Amino acid sequence: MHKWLYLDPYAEITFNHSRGKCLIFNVLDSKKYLFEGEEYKMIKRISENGYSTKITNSDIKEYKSLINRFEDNFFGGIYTSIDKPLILYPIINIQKNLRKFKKISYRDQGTDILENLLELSIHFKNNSCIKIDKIIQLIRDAENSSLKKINVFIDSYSLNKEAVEILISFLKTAKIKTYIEINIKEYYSFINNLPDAKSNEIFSLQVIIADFDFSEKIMEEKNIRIKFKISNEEEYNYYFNKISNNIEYNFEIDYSKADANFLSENIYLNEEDIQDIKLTKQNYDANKMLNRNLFGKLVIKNNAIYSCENSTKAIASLDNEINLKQILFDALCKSNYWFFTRNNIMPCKSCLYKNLCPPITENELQIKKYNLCNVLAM
Amino acid sequence: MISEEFFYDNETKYFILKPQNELNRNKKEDYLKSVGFYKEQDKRKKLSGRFTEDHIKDSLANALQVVFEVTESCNLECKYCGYGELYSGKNSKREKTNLPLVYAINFLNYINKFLNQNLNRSLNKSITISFYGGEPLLNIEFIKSVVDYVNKIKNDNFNPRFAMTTNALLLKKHIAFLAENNFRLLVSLDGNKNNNSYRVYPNGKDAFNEIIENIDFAYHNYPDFFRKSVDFNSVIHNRNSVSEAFKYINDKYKKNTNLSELNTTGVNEDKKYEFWEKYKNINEDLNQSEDYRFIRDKLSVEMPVIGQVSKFIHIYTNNVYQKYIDFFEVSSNNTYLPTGTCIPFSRKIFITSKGKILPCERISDEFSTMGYISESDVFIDYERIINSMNGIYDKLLDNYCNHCFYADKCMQCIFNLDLSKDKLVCHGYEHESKSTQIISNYLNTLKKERKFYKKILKEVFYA
Repeated sequence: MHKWLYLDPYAEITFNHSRGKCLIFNVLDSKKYLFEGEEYKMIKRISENGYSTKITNSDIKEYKSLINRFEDNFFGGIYTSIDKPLILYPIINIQKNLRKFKKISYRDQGTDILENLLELSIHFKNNSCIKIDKIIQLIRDAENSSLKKINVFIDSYSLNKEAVEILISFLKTAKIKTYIEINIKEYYSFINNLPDAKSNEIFSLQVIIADFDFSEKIMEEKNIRIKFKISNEEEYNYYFNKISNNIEYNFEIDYSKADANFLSENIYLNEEDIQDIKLTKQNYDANKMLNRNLFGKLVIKNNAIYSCENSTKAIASLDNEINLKQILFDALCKSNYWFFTRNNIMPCKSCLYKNLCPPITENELQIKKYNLCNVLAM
Repeated sequence: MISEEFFYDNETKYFILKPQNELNRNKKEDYLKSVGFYKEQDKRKKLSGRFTEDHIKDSLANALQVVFEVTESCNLECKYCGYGELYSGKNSKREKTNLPLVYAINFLNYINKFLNQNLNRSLNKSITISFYGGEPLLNIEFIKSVVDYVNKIKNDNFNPRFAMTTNALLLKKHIAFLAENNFRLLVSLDGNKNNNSYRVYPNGKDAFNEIIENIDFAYHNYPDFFRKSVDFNSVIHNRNSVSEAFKYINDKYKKNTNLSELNTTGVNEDKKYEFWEKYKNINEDLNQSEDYRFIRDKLSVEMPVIGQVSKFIHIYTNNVYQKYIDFFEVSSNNTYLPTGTCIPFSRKIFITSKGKILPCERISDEFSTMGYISESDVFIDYERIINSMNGIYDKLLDNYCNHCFYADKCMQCIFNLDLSKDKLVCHGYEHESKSTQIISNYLNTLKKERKFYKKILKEVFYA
């Protein structure tokens, strides 16, 4: 008989080999355990040997604390048997991993590509002549996709009046949940023309207030939500004192204007925040494989289509013939945003919490700063 | 469901080694329960999925393969042929009918329309146009006309590949055409002269020498085509073995061979003795083989036993996601179609030589005919398909599925059951109480072949 030190398959390991450290995340209860030195080396050995490794009686003495930690927290232990115990340790397999199919002769990369469209954002900015017919064609082509949500951002209603009205009328029949955001300055004119766009089964309307620029009568409106854009504590306090009880609201930090201290105090994750993170295996695996914030989203602005809000490289232009499947193929197989994980960027790449932290956001892309945290476990 | 060695939870799909010390084992079980293991499942709700017309239309618009039964005629009369004397049922009666070209053209136009609908979710996905028999090369004019027509109508959404199963007797004569059109060929060959001796002419004469002459011609004169596009299939029976078939083809043509067993469904009552005398189980045969390791290493994940282990890993563990959006959806709320039967036409569409439309060539047309082609029209009877298939599930549900271990992992095709009987019997049924044994069998196989665990998860993608 031999003795084997093993880890259970729900113990997910993240290594930082250059620092000789590792983190075990127990997917079943979301508890996290840091190891270093000799304990790190033993966990590395277990990992490299399919989650179990033969140990001697002297190992058992030497690693008593490690073994106790495994057993007391129910994510591993010692097993006595002639043969190596079988552990079905975690390796992710995505059957329709289209990015891999290029190398597999019998699989086509474009298979079921429409499944990967989840969200569409349409911006009406300060330029007129938006090609609304092309946008409507795109939504029609998405009829059998996984599209569940459309965001309509109206920065300028007056310049895009006709296009916005055509779109809203079309979306009424398309039966896809649509979130409309409009600047408070244009809200009244918009809602007078399109009263149906107030929150109902299809539409959810959000009015944006920024720079202290608003009249308090907006608080009397029904079936809307207010988003206050803030960049410092003064703005937060000002708006907070104006909020009436009857209105639904939320605050959104304007990352481009906010100073570092404000971000650090209000946004940055601390050690306790990270310890409190709870993830299912599905979420954990997703964090390793793709970006849950960005995946499946297409953004239309300035008559071009992008694979995320902050991308500067369009994947298609509404000036040309558009093919939704080709656009999705390019977003999926050629652009990297949908798969932009914390393992792709420094300093997150070397952090032991990289698979636990929330995925990179548009805000992080906007300010090109990715470690919005006060922790760097390396 | 708990195996002797592992805790297993049907929802999280984790196999967790049981501590050997009883106290620790109990503590661990309590811990697992505290984090949600062994929650009661509403099996009835889970099995409440049913086929709809949308499922079938979706399959047609995303079709992977159309198989034309070019002709019922064959230049061989193999002793174990599925249409021969060993088998009963309507399929066994062959009338040497050729599929009329107009039927094929009507169907190609029909499927072309579906492929160009919004329901088609793919970009540049290929559709395989396959030719099947009898021996398809006996009706080469039909094949040439279909290839010609397909090449005329192909478009961005109809991106054809051609494939054929052949006994190779006419390969020399037609290889130039097949190579020119990039056909994928599956050649039936059971091994050496003795191994192949069930594959005979209608007069009983051994066809081996002519078969090999034809394959050799292709091998020597079209080496690139042969290397890229020719595969072999060997039926394993009492005159060959996995080892012999494998080594013969590997030595002679530097190719692996796919392995098949004789079809055990629809065997003629009067011929049962003869059938079981010929029948050989591939895994048992392979296990006894001295060349086991050699064959295993060559076939790797394509080896039958590894295929079974692979399916086990894909179905029973939680490392496999079907698609990217599975990272976003909660699958446990989904209902499940309580069957291993394919959604009609999701894998292939089989057109018989008489113009019947079936979901597969491996099932009898008696209960699975889902439509017809005529000289002027293609008709798929959605209502009949849905009522018939859902009706069969409803009959099986109470007697079998609700108590079956495989309920949400079923691999039993309903068309392989004897549907002529009033009281249906499910061959795939295993009572839930047998879960320990079933799981242990899979795990024991996986233990023997554990080096494939990583390889399967890294390399196996089912079509």
